[in-house]
Amino acid sequence: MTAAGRRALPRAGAVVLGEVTTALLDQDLPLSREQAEKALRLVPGRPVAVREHPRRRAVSPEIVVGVDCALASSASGPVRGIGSVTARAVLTGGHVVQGSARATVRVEESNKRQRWGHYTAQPGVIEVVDAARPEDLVEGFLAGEPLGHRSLNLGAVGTHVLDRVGGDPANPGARLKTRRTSLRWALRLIGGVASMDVDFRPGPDGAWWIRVSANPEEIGTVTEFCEDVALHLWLLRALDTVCERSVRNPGAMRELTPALNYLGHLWLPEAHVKSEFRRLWQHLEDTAGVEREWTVLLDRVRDRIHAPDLTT
Amino acid sequence: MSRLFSRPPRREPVAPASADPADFSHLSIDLGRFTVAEIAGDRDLVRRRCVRAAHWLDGARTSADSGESPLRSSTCVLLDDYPSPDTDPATVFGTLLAVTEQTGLPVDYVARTAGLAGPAVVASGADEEGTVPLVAARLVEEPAPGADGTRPPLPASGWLCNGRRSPDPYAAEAMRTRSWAPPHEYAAAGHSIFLDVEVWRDEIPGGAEPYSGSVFRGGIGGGDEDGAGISRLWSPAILAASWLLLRLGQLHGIAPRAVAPVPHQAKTGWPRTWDEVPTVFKINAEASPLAAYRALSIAPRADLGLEHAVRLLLDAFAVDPDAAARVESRAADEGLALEPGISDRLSAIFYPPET
Repeated sequence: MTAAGRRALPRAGAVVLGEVTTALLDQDLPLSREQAEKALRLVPGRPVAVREHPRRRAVSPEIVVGVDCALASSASGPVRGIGSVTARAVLTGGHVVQGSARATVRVEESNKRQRWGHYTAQPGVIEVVDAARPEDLVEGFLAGEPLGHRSLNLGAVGTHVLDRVGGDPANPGARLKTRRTSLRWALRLIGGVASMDVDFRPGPDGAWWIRVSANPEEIGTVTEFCEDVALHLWLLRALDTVCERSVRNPGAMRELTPALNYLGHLWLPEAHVKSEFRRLWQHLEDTAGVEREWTVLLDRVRDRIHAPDLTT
Repeated sequence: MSRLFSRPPRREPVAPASADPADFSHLSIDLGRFTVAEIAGDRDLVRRRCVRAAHWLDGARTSADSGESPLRSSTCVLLDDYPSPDTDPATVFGTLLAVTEQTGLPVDYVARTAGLAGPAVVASGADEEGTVPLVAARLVEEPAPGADGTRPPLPASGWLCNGRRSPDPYAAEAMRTRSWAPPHEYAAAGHSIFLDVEVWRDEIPGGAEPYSGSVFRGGIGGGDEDGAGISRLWSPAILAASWLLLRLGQLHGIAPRAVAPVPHQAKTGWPRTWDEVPTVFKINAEASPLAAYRALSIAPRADLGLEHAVRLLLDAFAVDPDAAARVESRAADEGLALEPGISDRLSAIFYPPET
């Protein structure tokens, strides 16, 4: 492993918390590679990473945001964490944009706030200064904050990054209305074990979350995997919503063709995921049958476009 | 994996190039900062400061020497020609190096602030972004207690501080709230030493205010100003902080290639125009590397405030993990454990004003 890898890896026992917000870029035409690189250049001097196949996926450099706030813990009351969050924007197919924020949370012996330089020396790490167990931080984060309590808001950081990605002003807006969705994930870092464990659950508000245990070396892969799952759950929701809307409101029929054009070709689970993670996808498929649902939905949209009177 | 497509080269993060221990000095010593006007106009002042710096240099080297391996140290001078010098570079370099030689002050490297602010001059003639905007883009505001990410970083005013500012008493009066509250340093254990540092100032031709009310142009990210004619003037603190980060190896893979030291060829003489002067000139062909594990400034006492400001900016700089790991692993190969915080690798000697 490279020296950089060694330095970047947190110790086992830490947890990584993340949240991905997914939305449609308000553009009729997908951004070209050049436009995508321009739109995602959030930090001067750092490259935008682009992969072309099997579909274009462009990832912005990370921005760093300082935090000093409560972290939810399922066992005790909230605990205090100080450090920073990193966030990046991901553009898939030139059309679907995601704001993805994460932080590695470590429980430290120190019980007071350090000089700021202590935290900027490790961007993306939050140190908890109260006693807390990693598993309680995972459960607390995934459960969401109880009413009236504010805690680490990764969704807001991700949304901020998402909003910074603009389209081409010369390009007309999207002819399809979709809603943003967000997906929380938590990774429990385990030492020396190569196997991974995953759990998908829809939360009380219908939003999904992912809980994974993996080796610290897999942080990047897990992040990408969760972004990929968030993308597909959003695609499903977007297409389902437009289909339902067209049933109730004939005026919404005109959204069906753009929906198919924008989204139909983007369903490619595992497209950019390392082979070890295919098993996790299979688990999602077994739990929720998302792939079958998508196939049925796509057929239904096509039928409504071609024979709108025969289908409901 | 599908082999159907011939894949274009993927732009993955570049693995840190393997560095040789000899890529780094143990210590980079800053002998002082001189403006072009000082060198051209007040040779005696420059001479007096060089004499003082020379007094401290030997002691600094001795105290840094662990005795285990020969100390590798290099010296440098920061030449302040920002925003634009109007003196002949050959005269400036000739005078500066004549004075340092007379006073026994060995100078290995000379850097120019205007080159750091960019656009850097590249051998090919193409413009690249300067180093300073790239550093400014990585500055992270210190969060107030309670900052949970809900309120994203505000477009900044060009100022960065280490705590909570005191409210404007006039604004408070207008809103009929308490007229004054003390500022507060977030990391203070007890009493605060609050510091607010100007990172840049935007100037509009004609002297109009670059912003009105609370609507600011540009962000801490910098470089995104689209207002025509607005020029961003970088402060001495961010120029000095960028120079330090460069010397501490923290901008490896970030800074434009044009800031790599360019050896001075004695036989070709000094450049006649500033456009021909490299950002970092290597004066001594035998010098140890510019980049070092630790840095020391030998400076007049008047620079105390600047040093404090530089430390605040270094504390706000989000390190690049690859660049930081490169330095740390090479130091570790030599059995040296570096301080994790970049600003902890700095030290300074302030000499009193000459009587």
